[in-house]
Amino acid sequence: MFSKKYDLRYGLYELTLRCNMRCIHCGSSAGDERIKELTTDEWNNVSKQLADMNCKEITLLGGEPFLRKDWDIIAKYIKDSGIKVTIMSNGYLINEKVIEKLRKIEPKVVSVSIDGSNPETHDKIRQLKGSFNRSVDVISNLKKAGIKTSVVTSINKLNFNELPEIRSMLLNKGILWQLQIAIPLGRFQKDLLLTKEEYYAAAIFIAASRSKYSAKELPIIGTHCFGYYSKKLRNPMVFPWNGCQAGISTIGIQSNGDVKGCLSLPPEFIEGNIRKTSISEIWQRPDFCDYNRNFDMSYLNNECKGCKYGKKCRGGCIGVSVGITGKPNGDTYCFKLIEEN
Amino acid sequence: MKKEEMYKIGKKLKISETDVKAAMMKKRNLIVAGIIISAAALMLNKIWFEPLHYTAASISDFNFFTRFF
Repeated sequence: MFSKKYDLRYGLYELTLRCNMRCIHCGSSAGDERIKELTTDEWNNVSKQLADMNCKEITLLGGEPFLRKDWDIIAKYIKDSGIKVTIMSNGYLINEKVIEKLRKIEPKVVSVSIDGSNPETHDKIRQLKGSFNRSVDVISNLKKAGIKTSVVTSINKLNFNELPEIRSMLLNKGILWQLQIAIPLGRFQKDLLLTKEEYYAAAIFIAASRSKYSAKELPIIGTHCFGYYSKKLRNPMVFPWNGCQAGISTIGIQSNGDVKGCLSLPPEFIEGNIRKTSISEIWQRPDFCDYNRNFDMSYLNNECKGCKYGKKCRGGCIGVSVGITGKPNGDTYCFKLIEEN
Repeated sequence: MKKEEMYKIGKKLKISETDVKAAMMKKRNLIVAGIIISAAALMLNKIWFEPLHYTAASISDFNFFTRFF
């Protein structure tokens, strides 16, 4: 009944690095497109390869994925290959035409970013005036069109205090709410990073919300950065943390064909390019995502060294760990560590 | 970490003591979750075969179970 090791289940596509916003927390410093971004045919070829490997779900993100004129062709190819599609967007370009196309593609979820409870905060973080009102309209239009919608909030010092107000906005709207912490990679400045205490308060907030409201009233979730192994808190994630999935079940492909275990990871984690090597070949390399696949306790860094959960946890989210400490396998934003200290 | 400390941290986001208590783990829930998931895994032979990615999209698949943790 148990699955084989390293079945590729989940793909992340950075369709383009081009973006119409310049968010202060953007981990990939999106703005201009990369040199030689993949063509439509190349993306479809990637999807074919992933379908052959029995991939179950692909998320299209960017940059801003809707800036690519062929986004719908790529999404339709994925759907026709029997893979579920999810899309992450800043929402700004989702107009009636896009919604009409989305209805045909039937994505599992379309995620739109909301980074504040009011235009001032959101627009400041997103560096685009009018983006808050636009996002709110878009979310409502997506819901009206019957498209499953989620809101993604990246928490930093500027919007931390607004979480209760954002929750009020989303309550009883049937919108999924995904919370994550902004991590100091790309454009994000370390001085806006939450303190550990604020991070833990955000975790209490998520856990309390999950307890206070039913799944129908407020489907809320903390992502991979909200862990690990708390002895006090109810789990804010979908599942109890089972270690970073980069190279275990997940693969990330940049718009220039570069391959990483996860798109959240910085450039030093690039391990191949789909123009030179097939995805299957990259995936089958025994040393692909070595930090996860060949992990042993000596890989643990920082305060994770010697942790009894180390083998399973592998030091938390690799992206957060690298962003905050400069080293993988040692995410210090950890419930267990915070509760013990 | 003591309860009182959690109440203090919760105050940063205006979370009441009652809500902080609700955010805390209950052993009963872990046992219930364990039983339900084991039973479901045996019956559906499915849970660990799905993508284990920690996103909002996954919550739509597994929300029922996760409320017990």
